[in-house]
Amino acid sequence: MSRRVELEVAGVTVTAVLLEDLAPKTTSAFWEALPIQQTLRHVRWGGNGAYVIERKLRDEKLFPLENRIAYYFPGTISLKPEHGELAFSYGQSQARSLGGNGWATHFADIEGDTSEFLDVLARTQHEGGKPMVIRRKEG
Amino acid sequence: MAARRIRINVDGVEAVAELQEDLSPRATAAFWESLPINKPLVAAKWSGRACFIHPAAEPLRAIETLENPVTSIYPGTIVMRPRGSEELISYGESEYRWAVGTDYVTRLAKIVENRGPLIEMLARTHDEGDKHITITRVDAS
Repeated sequence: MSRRVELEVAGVTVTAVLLEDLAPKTTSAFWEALPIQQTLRHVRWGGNGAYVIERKLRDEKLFPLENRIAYYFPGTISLKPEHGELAFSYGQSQARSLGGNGWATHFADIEGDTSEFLDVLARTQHEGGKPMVIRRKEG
Repeated sequence: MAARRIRINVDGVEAVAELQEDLSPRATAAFWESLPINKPLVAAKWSGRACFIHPAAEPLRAIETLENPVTSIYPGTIVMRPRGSEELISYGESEYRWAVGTDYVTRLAKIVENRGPLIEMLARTHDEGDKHITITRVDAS
């Protein structure tokens, strides 16, 4: 059975399923890094998305990327291990940085109704950073 | 003749900028006519370390072509897109981009007084969200 995590930010909690078959190395490292308590901020380069920096996930062993993507679909979670950057999208969004277009490992999908969560992501552009907790969902 | 100057105030921090009239005579003339500006200042989401005002005022909407186009937005520089769809001001590494890639902009003004404190205030939009910006004319005395 696939492992799941809970993400809590601004009073909204959602569950995400880890894509262990597609990204075994990344999901394992992510699971070991939990719980994560960091600030969720809006992206500067990637469009309609937000990010969390978790230094425990800045790890060269997480290369080469798994399940590689360049465009973030809403409701997905991806990792750029060069920065330890967890990326979340609420609309049109790409794995961009100062140097241009990049790539990331897509390793989890948020389940169920994502609308409130995506709204919180969007609000970080106008409201600034928000504390976020990501923890294991046991059972 | 000395360049015309503008006063920029973001949440209480003031700086003075000079219009880049030699580089962008049509755009800077329209920008001057559009003052005062009194709007929310929002962190950019495609262009890096920059903030934007959206949309620009009516006189800038009549400017349909670029003048001396650039893609990089140097810190402390104000730029605009043709047709006045937005104006941006940078606080660090910034390049004008949007969903389909890099695009060009016209330079309007460069900060010449109190640059550091204003840039620090602009950077705070990333963590703190929207600020308020006013831009007014500095009348020649």
